[in-house]
Amino acid sequence: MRASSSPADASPSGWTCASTLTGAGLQCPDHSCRTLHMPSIKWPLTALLLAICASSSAFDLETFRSLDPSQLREAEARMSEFLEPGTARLLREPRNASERYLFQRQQRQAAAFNRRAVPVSQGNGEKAQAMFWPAARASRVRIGPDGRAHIQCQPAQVLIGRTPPDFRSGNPAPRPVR
Amino acid sequence: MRTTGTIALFGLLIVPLSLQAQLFEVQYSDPIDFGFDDSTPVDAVPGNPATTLGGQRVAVFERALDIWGSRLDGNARIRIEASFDDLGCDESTTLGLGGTRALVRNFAGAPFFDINYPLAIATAISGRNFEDFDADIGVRFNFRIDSGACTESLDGFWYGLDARSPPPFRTASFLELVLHELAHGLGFQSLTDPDNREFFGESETPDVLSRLTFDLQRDASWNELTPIERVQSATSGDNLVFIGERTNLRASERLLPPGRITLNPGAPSAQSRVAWIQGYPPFVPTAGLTRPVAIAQGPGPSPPASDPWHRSLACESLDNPAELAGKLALVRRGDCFFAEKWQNVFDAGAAGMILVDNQAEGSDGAIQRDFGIALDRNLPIPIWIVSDATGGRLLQLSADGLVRLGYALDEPPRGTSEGFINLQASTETTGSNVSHFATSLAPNSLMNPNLANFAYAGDLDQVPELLYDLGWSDAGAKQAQYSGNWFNPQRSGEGCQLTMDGGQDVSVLTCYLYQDGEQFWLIGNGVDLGDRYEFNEMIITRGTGYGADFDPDEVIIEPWGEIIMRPSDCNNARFDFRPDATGLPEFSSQMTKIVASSCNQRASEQIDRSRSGNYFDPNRAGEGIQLALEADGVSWVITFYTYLDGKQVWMIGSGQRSGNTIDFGDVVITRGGDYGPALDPEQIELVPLGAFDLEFIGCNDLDLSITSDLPQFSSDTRRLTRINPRDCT
Repeated sequence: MRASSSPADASPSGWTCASTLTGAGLQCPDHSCRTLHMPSIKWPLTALLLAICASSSAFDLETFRSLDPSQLREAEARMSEFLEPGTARLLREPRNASERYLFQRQQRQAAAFNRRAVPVSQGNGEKAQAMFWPAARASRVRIGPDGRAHIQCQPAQVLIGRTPPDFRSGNPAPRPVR
Repeated sequence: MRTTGTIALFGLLIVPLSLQAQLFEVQYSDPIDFGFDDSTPVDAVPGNPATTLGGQRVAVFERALDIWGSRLDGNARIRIEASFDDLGCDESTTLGLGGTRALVRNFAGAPFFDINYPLAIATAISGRNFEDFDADIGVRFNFRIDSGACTESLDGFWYGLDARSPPPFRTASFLELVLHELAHGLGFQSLTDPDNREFFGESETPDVLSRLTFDLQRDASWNELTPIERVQSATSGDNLVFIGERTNLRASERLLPPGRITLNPGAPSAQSRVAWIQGYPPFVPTAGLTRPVAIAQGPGPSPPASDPWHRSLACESLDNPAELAGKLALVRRGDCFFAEKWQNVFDAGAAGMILVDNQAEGSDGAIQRDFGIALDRNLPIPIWIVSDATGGRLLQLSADGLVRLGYALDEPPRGTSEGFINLQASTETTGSNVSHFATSLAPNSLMNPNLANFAYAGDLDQVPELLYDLGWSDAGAKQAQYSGNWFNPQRSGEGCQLTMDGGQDVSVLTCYLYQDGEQFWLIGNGVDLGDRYEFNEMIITRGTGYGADFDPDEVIIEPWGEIIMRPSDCNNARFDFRPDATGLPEFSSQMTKIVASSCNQRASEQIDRSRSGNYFDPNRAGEGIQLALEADGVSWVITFYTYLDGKQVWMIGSGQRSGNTIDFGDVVITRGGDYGPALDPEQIELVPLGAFDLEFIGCNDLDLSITSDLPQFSSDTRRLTRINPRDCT
């Protein structure tokens, strides 16, 4: 995967996500976060990566509480400027604490969605496989044209900006003859 | 209720059951003082007295577990991990999410080979926990919703638990959300990738929901289709159905046909037109509702004076309540929320509201046929919606013209195809497809993709049956969970007592009531229909006296009518009283058990209620006692049903068992109440009667010693035996 754009002062150009970290010598304490390979990593980004790893499996309440709520809401409103919807890849360097927090949050969620656990087999033919985020359902609220909240259940992948396919403009289901 | 003596009957304590007995075990995984542990002070809300934010959240979550726990059973504890998280705040904000934590196949006891099951079902069937996973179900909720600044028009979750109090405007029902997300985790969740409909896990291995997800055009289940065929099937509208037997049986008795409105019913000029019913109660009975119509009249700036609907928007208090009283009010769409119109029409005394669209039928702006109105009110009059053209015809009716709101009874129920219930398979909101019932169902389902956010009483509609079809056990083996005494706190002084007789499978209901200040009682057997008990042949008796004046040959037994008990969980139920020929009105009472307990239990861990039941003296047929062990496992309630001077009398008391004996030292008799809507609990007087001492003899008999302080009731002893004997071997 490759970031689609990169401001001149930012390092993420050429970031590569891989199952193991090879370039920076950094490693997440578990395998629950996406690790990044960076040809050249500046210190702030190294710290950021550490933060990602540290918070990869849990919501970072402490950081959240340290944020300015209005700055956070503003950052959320323009999240697509610095994070690619659907992948949470960084499009530009985060500019403040709220953007850094959102980057962490979305990376954490994207990692969870993309993780595919190895099935665990038992001798008796039983086979089990962890599968929460890819299959999870999420109830979303949006404000309708009538000004009221409408709650609709969607795949939880909408959390990272992925949208389900839209068939309204074509690709209708063919009607086979029985 | 006036009390002339001390009675502890309605103040018994709740004793928590052991963790081992639970069906669901919750791991609240939030940090200290956050999420479910948030200590922020809040005001109590209806039905939820907790005064911290976390406390209210836990109370709602555990009510949701009670509701699910009352309808499901399993062989092992189901572990649920629940937490609050930052799920974002933007134009489309996530309230919560849920699902299974893993897939598993070919486990011990699996009904089908090489079929993936959600972990909770596998655990419930196999009777063991899958230790590779720390939970079976995961649910997360967005704590930022309660900040009030997360999303426009939504101030926070509604943590109320009183079904009479719907979520206020700008709030979202947390109970409905929790129940919905848990349902996904329990198994109502397509385990296919919504992008390509590949099976999750190993792509050749179908999931259990796909086995019963059926494409009518292809005449095949999803496990028989290719991924591309499933992609097409997932957006094929009413072609996609769920073929589970129990689900469709329940759906067939619940779902309503399309609406019809008939102008001048019964007349040669009768004309039937399409109408749209909303998915939420109140519903018109299948026989229909026939009333005159009258146009609502009230202030309002639009439409223009030349428009016949000029003053019919009903956005403010109406000017013509006398004209509308008891009639169907014609109201024009526009200018304000439907709920406001509904309220104004109700306040004017109308029997129903006919909402007339203000857009041409079929136009983009017209109300969609399957429109579901989320209403922040809970009013007892129906809303029906008609097209602009039909509204025009209604306007032309004469002043005395009648209209019948009814159904197209010759058409299949809404939300069904070829006799099967539809799953959601829309081309518009594809992300909701397959993992929900179709939006076209009426009544609306808990598992509609669009959450209703209305006054929710815990009705799980046909969702439990879908889970049974997937592999869950029903709650038939723990129907004794409903045993005990029930009362309505707003109607203290009357109540009902339910016991499971015989081998704990014969439900016997007695209700102790009043009419014109005097007691009367009813008794009857019931049928467990899964979501309700029907006591169709309640009887009433009369004709003899008390003690030595009792003569079984004088007892006159007459049919009274029926009582329907609709539990939302093991502690809460609505009782519908439907007298046949007594001249008494029908009424409903929302009751709760006098001793509540966790409903989150497995059948194998229920308390021993084998001594509960109905006992009588075979030589004195027509009187007897009902004895109930309450949910705490130590409190017993006795009700003695007898007569005085030809009229029914009942006495009630509570006690605790010591060895083979129970002393009921606080037996009372009551007087002063009235029937149904006329009941005033303040008029009911409790009069101490004395004491009952009971000793069990064998497994089917007991000795009852009555010590009366009232002169009209003599002291006495009786040897009583069960009406429905148990097998004592």
